[in-house]
Amino acid sequence: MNGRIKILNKKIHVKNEYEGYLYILPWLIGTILFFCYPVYKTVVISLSRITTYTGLVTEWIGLENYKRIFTRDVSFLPNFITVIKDTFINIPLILVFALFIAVIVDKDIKWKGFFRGIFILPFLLGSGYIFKTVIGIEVDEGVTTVSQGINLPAPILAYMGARFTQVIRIFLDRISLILLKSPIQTIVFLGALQSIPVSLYESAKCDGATEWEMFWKITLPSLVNQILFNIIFTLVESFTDLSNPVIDSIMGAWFTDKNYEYTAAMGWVYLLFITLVSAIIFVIWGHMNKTKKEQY
Amino acid sequence: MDRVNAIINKQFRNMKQFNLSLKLNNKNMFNFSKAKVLYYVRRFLLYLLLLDLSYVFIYPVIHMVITSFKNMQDFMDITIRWIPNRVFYENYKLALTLLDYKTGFFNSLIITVLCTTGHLISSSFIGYGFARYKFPGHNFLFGIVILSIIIPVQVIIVPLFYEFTQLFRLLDSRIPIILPTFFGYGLRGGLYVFLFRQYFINLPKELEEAAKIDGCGKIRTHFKIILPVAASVCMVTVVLSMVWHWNDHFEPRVYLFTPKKQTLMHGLPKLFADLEKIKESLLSGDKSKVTFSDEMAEKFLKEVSINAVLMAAVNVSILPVLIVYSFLQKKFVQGIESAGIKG
Repeated sequence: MNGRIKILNKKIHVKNEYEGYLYILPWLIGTILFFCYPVYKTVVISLSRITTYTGLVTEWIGLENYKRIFTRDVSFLPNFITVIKDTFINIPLILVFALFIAVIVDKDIKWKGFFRGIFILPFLLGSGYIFKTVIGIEVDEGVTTVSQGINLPAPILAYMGARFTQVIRIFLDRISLILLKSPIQTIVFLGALQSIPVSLYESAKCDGATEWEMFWKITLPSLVNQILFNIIFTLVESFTDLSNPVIDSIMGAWFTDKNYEYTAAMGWVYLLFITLVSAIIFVIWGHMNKTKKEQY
Repeated sequence: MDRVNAIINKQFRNMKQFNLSLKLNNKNMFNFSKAKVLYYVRRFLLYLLLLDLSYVFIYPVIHMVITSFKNMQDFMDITIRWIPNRVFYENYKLALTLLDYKTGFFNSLIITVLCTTGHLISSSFIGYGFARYKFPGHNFLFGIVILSIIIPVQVIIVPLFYEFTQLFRLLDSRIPIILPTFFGYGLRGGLYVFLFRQYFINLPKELEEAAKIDGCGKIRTHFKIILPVAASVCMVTVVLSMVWHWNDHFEPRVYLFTPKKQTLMHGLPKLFADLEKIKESLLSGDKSKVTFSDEMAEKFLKEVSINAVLMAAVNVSILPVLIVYSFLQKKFVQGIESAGIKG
């Protein structure tokens, strides 16, 4: 009898599993149409030379385009390196600032809604584009205008000398830019902070923990998943950002030079890097979840 | 009875006096304890920090609003940094006419509404499928979802464009922007699938089972039970998708080229070029390209600065999103709280 029930259960289970395909059917169709085909096509284009543009008819030439990127292109590698450098500097900073803002706003303060609304503003302004084209019009670098918001009084800077001023300027620019890039991350952290049970903090307080200790021992460990999510999100965001020089050159090559083969190759080198970084993060994420489950 | 009343009254009076004395005592207490002073100092620093930070955030907005009301003289005047001499509405008039605000607004609206609906329906189904069923290859397929989030559109845009325009014959139409959203793609479509999947994985199965036992069909269960339960994630999806689609300028720029189908964000960079062209042609005395009256043209040359008009245009085009968001804000933040983006 028991065995029969097991078999029955198994049958129901199997039937159920295939129903899942029905749910993701639209996605499967979409994957073939809007993902697999374009990706396959870019791979083919990157490995060949286009003979006629109307039908994207191609002729196979192998790794020629990839060779060109690394041996003949003057601008790609420096751009690529700056992007990598920027990303690895910006991601930790964005995370720290987002967490910082979230922690402050989460405290019992007056005008909570007002402050929350303000910290989300950059997200509503359309990240990047408006900042770049509209605010950046007045000055050569769009960033400097933003940092005027936290400008230091000129006499102090004059006293300190040019080099120091420049360092401070760059520092402030970077920070203000990072602040403006962090709204979504802030909301994610804020949501997570709110779901941490208050009783945890209370019991810690009873045991004589300071706020600093509570932050490291309670708040941060319960935010691990959000931190990883935010890392991925920031990564994607910064890689597709318009101020990103590699994306800039890719766009230029697609639309003004019409140099499709070369651009596709460039895109693939770039993509490989992004995928690698995200894969590493996901592996870490999965590993952490596993160890977490083992603990319970 | 009277005696009892009198006693109660007396007691009451005593109580009042006692309370009063307590209050007086409190008022006269000037010796704060060290902890209290520390508390106030910390509060003060906290508010200072908050105001400081919010200044950084609000600065671009203030800058945009104020610049949009400036005229040429205000720009020339060094003494004016914040408040212009007088409010100059002409910028807004120019921006509205040159941007063709009405058509732009409706085009943006169509794309935003349809795409948001598409994302909501498709990603809720797909996320549910990924969360509830362990069909063969579900890990691999979910990996593709993640990959689709990670890959920038810019990298695969030309084959996509080729696919839509040459294989499907959809030249200059909104369908290439709208259609992918109904299949879980489009502008960051994978992200919403991801969010829904993470939410449904932590949701107990009992609700759907109860519905199934009561004889509720799959699709009806989805719309009547699962979507209301996942209202918080729906809210997050709607707000994110709405704002991103409204502010998106990349896809409209690629797929739409007639001015009739232009969206607001798409029109902004064009506006800048147009303004410069108009100014140039006016300076050279050629009035063929200018669409507005002579009086306006004269004003344009003398008083209007291009930057101010551009700022006005930006303000006008962001305004609808700001208004809608201000209504949804509370629920959105709550939504993120209860959706709890989890791993």
